[in-house]
Amino acid sequence: MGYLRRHPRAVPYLLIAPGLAWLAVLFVVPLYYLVTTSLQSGDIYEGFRLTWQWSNYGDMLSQYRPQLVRSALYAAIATVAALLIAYPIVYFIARRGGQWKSLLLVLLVAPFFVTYLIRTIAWQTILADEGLVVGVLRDVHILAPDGRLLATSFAVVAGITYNYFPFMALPLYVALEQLDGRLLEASSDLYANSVRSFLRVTLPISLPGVFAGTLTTFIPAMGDFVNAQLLGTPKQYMIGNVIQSKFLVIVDYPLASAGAVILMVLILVGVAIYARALGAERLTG
Amino acid sequence: MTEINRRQLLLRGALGAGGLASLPAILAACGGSGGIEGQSAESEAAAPASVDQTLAEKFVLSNWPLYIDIDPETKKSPTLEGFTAETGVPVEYIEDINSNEEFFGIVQGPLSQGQFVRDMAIPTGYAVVKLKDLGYLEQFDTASIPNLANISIPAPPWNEGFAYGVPWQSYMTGIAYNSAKVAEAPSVEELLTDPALKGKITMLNSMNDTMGVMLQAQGYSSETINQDEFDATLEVLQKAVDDGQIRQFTGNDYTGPLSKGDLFACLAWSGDVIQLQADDPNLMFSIPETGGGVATDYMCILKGGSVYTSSVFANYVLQPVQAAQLSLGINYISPVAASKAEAEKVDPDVASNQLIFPDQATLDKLQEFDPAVVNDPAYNEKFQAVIGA
Repeated sequence: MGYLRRHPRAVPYLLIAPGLAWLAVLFVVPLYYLVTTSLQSGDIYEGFRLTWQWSNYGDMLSQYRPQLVRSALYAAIATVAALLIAYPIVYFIARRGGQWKSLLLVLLVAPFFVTYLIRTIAWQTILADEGLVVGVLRDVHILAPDGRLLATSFAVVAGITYNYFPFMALPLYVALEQLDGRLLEASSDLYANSVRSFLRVTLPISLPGVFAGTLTTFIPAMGDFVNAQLLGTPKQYMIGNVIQSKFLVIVDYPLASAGAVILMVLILVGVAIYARALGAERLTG
Repeated sequence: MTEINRRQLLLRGALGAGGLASLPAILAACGGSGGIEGQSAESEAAAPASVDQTLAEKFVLSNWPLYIDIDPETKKSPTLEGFTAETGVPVEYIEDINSNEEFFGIVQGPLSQGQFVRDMAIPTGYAVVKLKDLGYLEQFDTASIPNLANISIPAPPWNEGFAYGVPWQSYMTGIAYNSAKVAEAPSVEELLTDPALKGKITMLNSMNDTMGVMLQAQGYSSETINQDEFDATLEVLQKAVDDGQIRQFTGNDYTGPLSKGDLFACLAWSGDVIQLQADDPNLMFSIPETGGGVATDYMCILKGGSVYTSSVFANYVLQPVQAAQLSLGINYISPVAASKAEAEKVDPDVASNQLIFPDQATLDKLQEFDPAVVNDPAYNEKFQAVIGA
């Protein structure tokens, strides 16, 4: 303690040290290996060597453009869908939940205590061709008699939406929960109707939650491969499926790594544009 | 799979907690996927000249799910219990092989750094070839396995005298169908083109299984494969994918949709279908007229595993009585022909089942896929591109 008294300026550095060490070991070092691996060539028998094989990136981009575009598209649709579903529910819980607030929130999140894989497999049963949902949709002629939900883009996007729902709901909840009720009172005192109050008061104040929620949903959704594998067909495969197959089946570590780096860069660029558009600096203070 | 990854992660985290002094160790751990050069030579050098004849304190065995006999009452495996009773060696039995490729991905890193992973694993033949070529296998102490003489299938060229892999069970690849949905067994051609089956069939995501059956349906051999025939067959498969005829490429996970009726027919493994038949007698398995596939899973000793204990285990399961017990329990094909006589004493019905104890006429309809092609990345890439990734 004596040291700290004598050197008060060291305190912040000491406090940040565990975090920095964590980042170094679990982010910087793996990232270094990921990037160098992505520039290697060779095969599993001869070994992989760093040959600055930039063509790995070109190969991934040209061969797997459909999967990349599809990943971005599915992740974007799922994020918007999750937002549209989560916002009203969370709004209700946060603003009108009263004494049931905590219970309702637990109920919302409870299904996600079940492991990801099991939940996705459960959707196989729910959407099965001979199942209840498809049966009803066929009876009311929303689906053709030989139509199906499973093994379609719809099923994959629905699966992603469902699986990443809590990542949207929880940041939104935090934002809406903190909304000062007096602001809404003031708004109605100034003759704003409820729609106007929502648009001019609630929504702007909850934007940081929307921003955080869309990011925490979109980023993992873009790299997802489980939903496409279990609920889709080869025509729904995403970039995550390609990376998984390159890494584990074909055992081409350099191409798999290049795919992972491309995915990471795309997400970073996308997030930067999004943050700019939404004015993240203003949002996050 | 996740568990192993987590364990590795935690291990690396623990190394990290040890302070920056151990950073080189972490760097080495992270770099595991790369440098494996020069190890192939080692495997040839590992001659079983002087095998330590002491049993290990415990025996760690990796296997596929549902691939060992289980007593429904005790929920324990009579085979493993019997081995422990006879040798005093407890077995740590891990069901973590869901696909050869994934399992390889899991063990490759630690094995390339000479770390102990398991004493024994039971991958499919072509995966054993890959492990052997990379120098990740120990040779069996064949002198300690007199029951090798009971094996009734020939040793493949890469496995003279069963030194690297002792057969565990074989399985057939053929067509499973739901007889409530289709009257009779569809042919491979019908699977790929019949409009009534559109979107109602799946194929297997393993190249050897799907392409093995497909090549034969095109009139080619799947035992020795040439590039042009492979490419021509792949085009047929690509067309069926593009047409939406094939719903999905699966591992074992075709079983659920098939019994629910979402699938009318699919490529499947014989033992799976027999196990499903117990619950749903409508499910059938047929070997296509054009030919089916056969593959064998081999016990093999991963580098650093106990050679003697593994050899004693292999010898134990190759006894006809034990082999019969295993095949009756899991419904796959035993490499020990004499097990049929033993099985007849216990369950004559199962013993007469052509899918579990096939006769020569049945075996003649099956071909084992060219292992060189399975391990060739160029073929794999082409196949993976067609199945969507």
